[in-house]
Amino acid sequence: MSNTSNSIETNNEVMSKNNFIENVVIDTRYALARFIAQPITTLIIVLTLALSIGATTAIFSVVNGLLFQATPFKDSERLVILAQQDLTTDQSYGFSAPEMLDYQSQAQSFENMAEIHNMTFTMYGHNDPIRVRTGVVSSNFFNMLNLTPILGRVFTEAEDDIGAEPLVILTYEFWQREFNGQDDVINQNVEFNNRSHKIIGVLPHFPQFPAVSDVYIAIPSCPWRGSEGAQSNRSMRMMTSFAKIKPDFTLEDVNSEVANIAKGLANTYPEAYSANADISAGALSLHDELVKDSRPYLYTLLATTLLLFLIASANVTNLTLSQHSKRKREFAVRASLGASKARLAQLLLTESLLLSLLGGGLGLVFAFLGLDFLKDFAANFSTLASEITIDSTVMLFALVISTVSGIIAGIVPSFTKVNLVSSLKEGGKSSYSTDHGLLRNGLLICQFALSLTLLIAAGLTIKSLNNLQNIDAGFSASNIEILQVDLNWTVYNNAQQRWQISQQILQEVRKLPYVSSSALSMTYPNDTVGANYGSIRQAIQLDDRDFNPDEVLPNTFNRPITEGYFATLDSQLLQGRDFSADDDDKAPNVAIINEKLAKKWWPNESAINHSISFDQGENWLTIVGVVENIHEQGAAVEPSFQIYRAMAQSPTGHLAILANHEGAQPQGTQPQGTQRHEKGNSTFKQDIKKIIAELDNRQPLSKFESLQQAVDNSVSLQRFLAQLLTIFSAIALVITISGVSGVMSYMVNLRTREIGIRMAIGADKAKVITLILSYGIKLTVIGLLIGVVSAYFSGDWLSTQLFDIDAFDMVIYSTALITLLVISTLACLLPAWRASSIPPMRALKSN
Amino acid sequence: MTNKKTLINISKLNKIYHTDGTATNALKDIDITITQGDYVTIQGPSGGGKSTLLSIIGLLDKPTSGDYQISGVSVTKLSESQMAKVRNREIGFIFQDFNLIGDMTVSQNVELPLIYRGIAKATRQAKVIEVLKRVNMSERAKHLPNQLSGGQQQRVAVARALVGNPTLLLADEPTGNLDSVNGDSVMQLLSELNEQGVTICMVTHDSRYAHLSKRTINLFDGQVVDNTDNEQKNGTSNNKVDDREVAELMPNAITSSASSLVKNTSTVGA
Repeated sequence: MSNTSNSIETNNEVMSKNNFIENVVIDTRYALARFIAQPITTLIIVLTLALSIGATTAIFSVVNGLLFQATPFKDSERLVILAQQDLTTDQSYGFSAPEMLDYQSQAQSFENMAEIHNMTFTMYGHNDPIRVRTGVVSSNFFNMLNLTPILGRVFTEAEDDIGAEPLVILTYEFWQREFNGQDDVINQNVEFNNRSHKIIGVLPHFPQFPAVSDVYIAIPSCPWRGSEGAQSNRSMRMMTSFAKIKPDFTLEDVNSEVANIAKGLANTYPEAYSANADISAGALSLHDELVKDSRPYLYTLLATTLLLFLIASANVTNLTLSQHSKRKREFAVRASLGASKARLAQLLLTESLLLSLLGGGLGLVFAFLGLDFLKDFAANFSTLASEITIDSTVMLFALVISTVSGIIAGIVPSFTKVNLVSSLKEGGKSSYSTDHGLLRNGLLICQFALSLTLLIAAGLTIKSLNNLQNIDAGFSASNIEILQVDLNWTVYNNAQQRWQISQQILQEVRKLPYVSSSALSMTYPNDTVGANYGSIRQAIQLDDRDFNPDEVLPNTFNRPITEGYFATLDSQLLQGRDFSADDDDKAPNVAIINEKLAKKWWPNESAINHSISFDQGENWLTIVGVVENIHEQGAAVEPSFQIYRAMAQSPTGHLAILANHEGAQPQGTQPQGTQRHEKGNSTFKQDIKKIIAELDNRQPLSKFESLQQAVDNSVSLQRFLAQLLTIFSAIALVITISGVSGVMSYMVNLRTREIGIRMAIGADKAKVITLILSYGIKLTVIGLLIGVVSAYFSGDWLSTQLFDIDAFDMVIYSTALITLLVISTLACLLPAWRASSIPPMRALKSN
Repeated sequence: MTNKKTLINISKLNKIYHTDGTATNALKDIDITITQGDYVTIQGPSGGGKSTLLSIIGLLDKPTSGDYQISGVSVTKLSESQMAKVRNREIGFIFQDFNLIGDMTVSQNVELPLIYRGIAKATRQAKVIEVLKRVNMSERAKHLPNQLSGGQQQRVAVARALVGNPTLLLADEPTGNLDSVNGDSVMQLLSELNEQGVTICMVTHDSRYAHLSKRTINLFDGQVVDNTDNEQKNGTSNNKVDDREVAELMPNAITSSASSLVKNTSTVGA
């Protein structure tokens, strides 16, 4: 054939290296023209991809920010958090000051070791007195994290010494909030409780741990840490310790070393530990510590969005297949003009990649828009949430999944064998069964299976949330407003002073006209700040048996309350009585225990009139009442052992003022709904502010919330998960329904002539509708059957992660199945109706 | 004609379609030779094998057996990509329903074979302008196919077939979707192209146009039943089969109509 070669093909005319690029440009131009010519189809594909890629990318940004990215500190992989443990009771402890020194001197694997504990101070000298969350740290804390202040300086080693000048460093957020980011803040003096502190620096933003603080002070600035007792008492284990490992050591080395040190200290100082304690110590990487609670939730969400992505990809592939079928003639013409299979595949890939990149780009915008929402969600489990961002890794992820989706959608039709002769003759008309029918049906079945899985997962999550919200928590949250006051403990430094102001506050609150009942307590159900206040870690002596020092009950709490606490919460006293005004500091000590503890100690008799002692018989408390179990730490957490003490006999500096205004609305409030709560809280807040100011105008208030808000916050994570899963399953449902509708419409188009023939030989409208419907329903049912199996496996996993659900729930499965079946039937009905409405003559001529 | 070089040489070519276990002989022992500059019309009743033969000549389909050579090179064993290359460089197609790509302008449609051949842009554009002038469509270069009449669309299709300077132009019912005026115009164009040296092989039902070709091949039931040189002034076929032979080839029921078809064909252009 060489002698017949074309004269136009000469070396200087034929493109070589630029050929591929120019082909891509040509294909891109053509693809864009096609997209513009078919705006609806293009929009559907791009939106489908954008929703799935956006959701997947947004969730990935959280997973990436929390799990994959290193903690944003220098050498963060070498930073570890240390903890001591009593293996006998499985209780974890922090470190006392003497223990810190022992570890520092004995551990060979540490390059450095720092301490932190958190306190609350009242800050004066700048605007109104405010409550300030304070981190008390050793001077090397900031150097270990490689934090360079944006203003001023950090503490020096000399400033760790007892007696050094009281200094304070502000966090970036506190500086902005309280000092409006003013540069002249350095060297200003502010008063913390009763001591003046000089501001020496402002830190940059960083993810804080173990708790978020407003300011940081040095060791000697803390009255407790700087006290003689804290310096010498080995049992005062209030500090969190973290260390930087030397480069040559591993985490295993550290774990082994600190465990040995712990055992050595327990042998050397047995008096500092309870008898029979099996003391050990361990280290956890700082990153793992910061994200340990997030993994199950994040993996659930990532799996969910990947399901959504698969559903969207299947749908887009199906749409592309339909488009491809309509373009058979075009591809045949191109082939007849000399386009090879590879060249046609290149065209299809260019088009699908362009669409998926458009979808990916829009998805990235969606991800950006949803980022703050997700950061709030992630803040539930890690302070690293503030570090979450759409960075280059996330963008690369979006690009990769967009490309994958584009390749899937483009490559599948590329593998189709095209009959050039018939395609050129028939213009792409063919029968459904021969036209990717199997593949198309398979994709649709997959979509149904995955959608059902997602829908059931969402249903199970909602049920779990519902179970949480409907659990009998032992109290009623309605109409209860709460205001917390942390008394300045250097002013109110004895029990008498604390009780005096507590009593005055309560008396004034009870005078408020809208308050039907009120009480004071150290903490309240679902109080995130005071959840661990009053934790009892020693054995309690009972009046009717010998003292056993090893019998330390886990999760036992001592809560000072005033009379009226249970009435305000609407909790039922099961036996005995409530505290009364007579239970003052001069009266015999009394206690009310919860049902769980009563059953534990006296399973076969009443606990009333039995006595207990926290100090091995020195002082006794008579049990005067047994109250029902109250879920103090959230509905998902089993009620702990509770001992309630009369506040007059055990005054506290942490005051929660509870006021129930049921039946007596605050002035100017609405009778029902959230608005009432907000206004009620607002009125209550103002009134309490006035009361406190009249009693002590230097005492700030700490926190306002309604008990209902506290309850809602306790399930916010589960609610958030349920909301996201519901949104994702709704998107999946819409995508799947558009998929089934599209496939059925396409099938009707291909079978129009057949339908005409059937009608010509006597099929009526109903028979045609039945024909189309039965086909769609058959595919739906197959997909749903597969979906039930996959839903069971996902439900099985969810049941290990969520509260009180089983892998199989008849109501949820039935509802999801019926929903999909009904919606699918409706989606098939339109094309079926259209098919039955085509005049037979037109149908017969349709080919 | 004996001095002309052989372009297409088909010998003992068969095409069998298998459908649900049933074999259908679409082409049986076809022997055809087409020389350079030839203008051949393939005629015959529906199902006779015309389009199948044209598809095989155009390398859109493969024969079941037999040999097919273009310029002395056998093409029956070519791979799909090799066939695409030959289609691109050696063959131009004109279809009954034009088969222009609707989303592309006239010039983009015409440019397509050159893109597939990897021709540089400047050369492509020059060639497109040149060929559109040749078919009197240069003023419609920026139009979309749906903005053109059927005749204009077919002219564009001819331009697209010609732009790569093919050795062979294949036309499948090129006037089938055109009215007589446009049909005549397109046929006139093909005649002119042939006079300029383009080899043409055309399938048509329309006996009015068959006489324009130099040779007419009649297919019936997949067999060549007539191969007439239209240039012979005596009106007899150089390869004519008599009625007795036709009767042997055709079923009894349609012998008479087939015979008349052969007679009609042999007298066209006389």
